[in-house]
Amino acid sequence: MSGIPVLDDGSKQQRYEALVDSYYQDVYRYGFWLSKNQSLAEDLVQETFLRAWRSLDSLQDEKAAKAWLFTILRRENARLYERYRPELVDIEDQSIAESTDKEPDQSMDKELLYSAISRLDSDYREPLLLQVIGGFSGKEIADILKLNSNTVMTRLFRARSKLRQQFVPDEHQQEQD
Amino acid sequence: MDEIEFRRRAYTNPFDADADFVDAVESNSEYKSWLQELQAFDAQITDIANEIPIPEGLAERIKYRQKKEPGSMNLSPRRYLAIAASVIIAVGATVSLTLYNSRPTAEDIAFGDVVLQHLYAEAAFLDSNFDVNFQQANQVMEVIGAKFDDNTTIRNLIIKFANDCLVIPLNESVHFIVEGSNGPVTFIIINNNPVSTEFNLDDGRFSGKVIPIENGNLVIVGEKDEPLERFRNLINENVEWVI
Repeated sequence: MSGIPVLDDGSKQQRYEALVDSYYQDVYRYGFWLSKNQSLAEDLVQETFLRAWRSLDSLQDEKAAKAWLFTILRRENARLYERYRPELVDIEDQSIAESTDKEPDQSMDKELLYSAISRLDSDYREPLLLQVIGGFSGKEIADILKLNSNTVMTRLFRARSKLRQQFVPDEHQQEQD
Repeated sequence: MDEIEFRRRAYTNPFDADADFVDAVESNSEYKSWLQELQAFDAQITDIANEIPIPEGLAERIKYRQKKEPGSMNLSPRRYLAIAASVIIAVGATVSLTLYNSRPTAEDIAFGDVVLQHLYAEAAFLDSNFDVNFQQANQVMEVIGAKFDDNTTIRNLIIKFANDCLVIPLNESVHFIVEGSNGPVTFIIINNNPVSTEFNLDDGRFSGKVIPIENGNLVIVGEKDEPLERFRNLINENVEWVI
């Protein structure tokens, strides 16, 4: 929406709070997958929304707000945390809510799938999570990750096929690593 | 659509709505059946990815934090609600002063408050255990134009976290967390104007010192009762200014 007048502080506040309400959960969830720690994920989300507030005037198109927030989150994660991340992280299973209503083998499958997602190389896991948590298109994912679309498509393909192979191992795989 | 292309498209996005993909699926019962299984699997991935529980009150804390943000030098620590500390720090954390030869100025005290606030904001990093090595530590020290001496004292230091720091956004600073005898010890070195005199920071949970040094300020903070002198000596004796 070009030519929008500068908002007064009240409108800016409302606009900001609407952004928080709409997106804080997805942003937190993605932040948790990046950091694997509840406290750090909360710090990431706080910093993300603070920076969003400071540069809210630069967001021209509300439709781009979610991708914009995820881009800020990734930048914050890189700044605060990624430098010293160990290669393999011990994954605490705090994310899987206790599901006492499920059959034991269903819970086991969920844990196995969670573990499999966590152990994907981050180059594959992150586009996949952007797709399934953020609901982003290939083009949006490419913009967020600053990759070209073909690379994103290849990584999505590899992420899913690797996961699928672990659970349906006799299925014909088109691409081997 | 040949099978290779079909599978490539399906794995990239099992819910691809492009007309050519949809037509290929509708016109081939094997593709359709295979895709339905893949979509069911993908639904499980989506469920798992989105099952991360959201901490209670998160939206309120995000909004609260922003309301405190613009230009404010407030004294309430950012995430005290979320910190599992045994002491709740009230708004307006007080700084207890030990009188030295001269009293810290109001500006010095305000700086101490900012540092404390920053510590609470980054309290999550106190649990870090990144096993930072000597080379990595010195890469961080480059930010402030300093370096650690290469000796056994520094090599034996257990550094759990090291990064540049934004405690004072316009000044370069570094933030280290090392293992102390009572828990983690934070030291922050900031290239800003040195405070007029050394003074303590004590707020019931943390025990620390702000120390003017050659190129700025050294802040050392540990858990209550942590002996801090050895860390002051460690920095004084093993850090060299390169610039």
